[in-house]
Amino acid sequence: MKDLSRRQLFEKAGRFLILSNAAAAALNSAEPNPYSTADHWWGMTIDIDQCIGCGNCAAACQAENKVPEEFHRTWIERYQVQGDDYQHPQVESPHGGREGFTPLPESAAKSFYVPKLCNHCATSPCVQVCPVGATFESPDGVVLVDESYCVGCRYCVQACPYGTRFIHPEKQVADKCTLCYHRITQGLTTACAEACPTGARKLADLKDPKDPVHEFLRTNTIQVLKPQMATGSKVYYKNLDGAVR
Amino acid sequence: MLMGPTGVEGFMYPNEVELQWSVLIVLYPFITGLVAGAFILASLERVFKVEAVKPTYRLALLTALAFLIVAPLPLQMHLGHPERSFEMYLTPHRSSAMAMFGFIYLWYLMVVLLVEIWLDYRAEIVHRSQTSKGLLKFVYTLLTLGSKNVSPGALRLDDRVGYIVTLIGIPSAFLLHGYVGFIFGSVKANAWWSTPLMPIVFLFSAMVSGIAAVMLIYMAVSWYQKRPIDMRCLDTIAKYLFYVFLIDFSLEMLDLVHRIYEADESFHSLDFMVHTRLFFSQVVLQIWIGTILPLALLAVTQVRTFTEAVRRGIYASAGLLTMVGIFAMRWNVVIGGQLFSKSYLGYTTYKLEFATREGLLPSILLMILPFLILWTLVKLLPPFEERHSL
Amino acid sequence: MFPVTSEHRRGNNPLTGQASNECDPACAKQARGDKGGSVPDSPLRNGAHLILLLAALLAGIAIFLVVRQAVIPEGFGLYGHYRAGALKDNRMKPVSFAGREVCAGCHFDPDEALRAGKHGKISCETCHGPQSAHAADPASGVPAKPNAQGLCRRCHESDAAKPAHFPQVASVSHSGGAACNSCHEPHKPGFAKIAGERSGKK
Repeated sequence: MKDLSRRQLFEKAGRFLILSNAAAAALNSAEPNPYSTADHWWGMTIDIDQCIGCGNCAAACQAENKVPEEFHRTWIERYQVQGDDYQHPQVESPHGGREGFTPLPESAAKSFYVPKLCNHCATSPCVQVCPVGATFESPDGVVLVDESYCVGCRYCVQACPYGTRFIHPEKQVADKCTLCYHRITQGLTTACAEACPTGARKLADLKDPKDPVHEFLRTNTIQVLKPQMATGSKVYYKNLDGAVR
Repeated sequence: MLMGPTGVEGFMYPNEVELQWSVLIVLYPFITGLVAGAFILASLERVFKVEAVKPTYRLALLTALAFLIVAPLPLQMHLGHPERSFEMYLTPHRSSAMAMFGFIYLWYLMVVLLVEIWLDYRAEIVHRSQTSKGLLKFVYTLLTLGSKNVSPGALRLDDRVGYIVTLIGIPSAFLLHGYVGFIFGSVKANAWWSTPLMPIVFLFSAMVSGIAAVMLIYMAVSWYQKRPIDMRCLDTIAKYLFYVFLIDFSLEMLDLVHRIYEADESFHSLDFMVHTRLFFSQVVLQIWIGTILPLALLAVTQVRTFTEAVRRGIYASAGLLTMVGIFAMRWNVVIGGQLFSKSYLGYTTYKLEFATREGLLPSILLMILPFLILWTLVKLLPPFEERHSL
Repeated sequence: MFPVTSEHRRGNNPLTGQASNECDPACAKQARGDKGGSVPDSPLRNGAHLILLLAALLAGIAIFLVVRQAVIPEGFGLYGHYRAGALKDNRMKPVSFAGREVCAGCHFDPDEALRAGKHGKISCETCHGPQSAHAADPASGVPAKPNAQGLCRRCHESDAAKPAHFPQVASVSHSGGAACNSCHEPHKPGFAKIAGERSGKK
């Protein structure tokens, strides 16, 4: 049994070696079951009770996607709520949490971490306003940017209610979380989920009946960010506090 | 709350610290507003038969053209990839207000404004193509588009078509600037912008700025060419400016009162901003100096009789203050809408640079450019010649 | 200055606003002709420049449509209002984190040890950083070992904002600043190292 699983691992590792040296296009055709966008509908689940604010996700995202130093495709916020004053939480996110947070001493305030990223909205305001069709929702539910087509008008950055977009300082085009599209379309998970030590962030395929996301949504208290914006967000938070913006 | 080194107070989402739309995007609605307003003033004479403003008819059209030519430049300079801007015409995204603006712009420039000016000036163009010399002769001949037919029948037809073009032009001018308002007003993520009043406030402020601009330019050109000012015309323009401004101010106050009374989740943030970072540009410049003061000045001329010299002085000052007020309004919409976090927990600062791509210097140059174009247009197609020929 | 003036054209006087009857015979004829139907001075001839203008406009639109068709990027609109090739472009990005399965393909023992312990669900690259370059070419070099001191504290330093159920210590009072891995084995947390030394293994 153990040998068998090892052999599988060997095969996978071998495949990875070949693939990482060959062009990604060849990768798809070489696969026995090529990726089909019709079979997937991607999102993410975030368990607030598991997030320890280590910042590994934010750092991993930067490493995986060459995110510029001053901008963030994903970041972590630390909330502190004093008593019943949930309308004025104190929030911080130094360097987007990439280097972690200074430990917070025990106090009367309630405090917790909230990871943020693009919500890959099903009816996304950023896609709606793009004048040229340079940002779009892929058939498998990921909001992407066409770097070679974006004019850099910044309208999408204005339209995103969550502040997840920015203009790449060198490329001068809109940049954002791709839900690691280059990874998830070849069977890997996102860099942030890969690097998360507690499993607080998990990639979710809502079209896969075997994906644990269905159980997660069914058995927990679930919230999306800014539900009043009606964006069809596909990043589902478990036990998200009402103070979170 | 402490102010950080980046000018951030409280909490902003990490990508929000830098403003997306700069002073160049302030110029864009300011300039298109002047275009729409000037055109509507011109159409007062043509369609609504307000004969008193006739001396400024052609000047208003030329002003609209001069500013319309410049209107897309700040947008173009602002783009991260200006060389890709043609994509807006190639693959316009139907759901994007910005994409549709490109077509409205072209429609307005090519079908409305150029055609109306051409039809109105055709007789002069043909005449000048025959009487001028050298390069000018070539330019005028080019402008005739190969037709020298200025028979009364042809001109009569021109006039009728011109009238129809003006009729089409009025809703087009409304559309041009209403749409600019919609570009901002439809951003649901931004509480400062997102209001159905935005297009209509933009439209009325456009009329205000366009009328004030043509009034000022008319006074300036008359002074420069040592031509007597037609006071009946000036009084009428000032009267229209007063009434349109009154509507504009009421709409803006309605928006303000509504926001204060509803006091939704964004109110605390916006209220704080108006009392701090936007206090000078919003309360002092826009409301007091740029709106209430010129309105009061214009109101006085409506109820009291003054000598012509005093009236000219009042109109000039009211006009200048109006321009300041409308520019401040554009500034407060565009820049103000980006100073607060979409988390409503913090504020950032706009740093206006000088000699950078989106700095103060290019903005000043962009504001001088339409006047240079207008100067050329006035030389090429004199707007006041008909007074000589009487 | 000009033979034809604007009030002439408009048929009204700019000063009085009154309709003017001072039309020349041709003009009057034209006006009548419009109503009458048959005219020698036909609207077709008088409107030639307008027809030309309209034709130029239509030609402009036609040229635009033709050019547009030619310049639209390949595959635009195939799946939606975007360039179909953009999907592929986004898939072509290089991978930095190889993923645990790839690591375990060679590093059997640490992976097995890890799976057995409390850190069992943590991916190798969570601590060791992105290693796809190493996985693609293991001969290229040995990845640097992570700084255990900072790494452990990043997760386990006491912090009121961390969930209460998560194991955390105030490192200063806990170990007086001694390196965490002098007592703990990161792949087998608990007191694996101390236990190991006592039993004489490792």
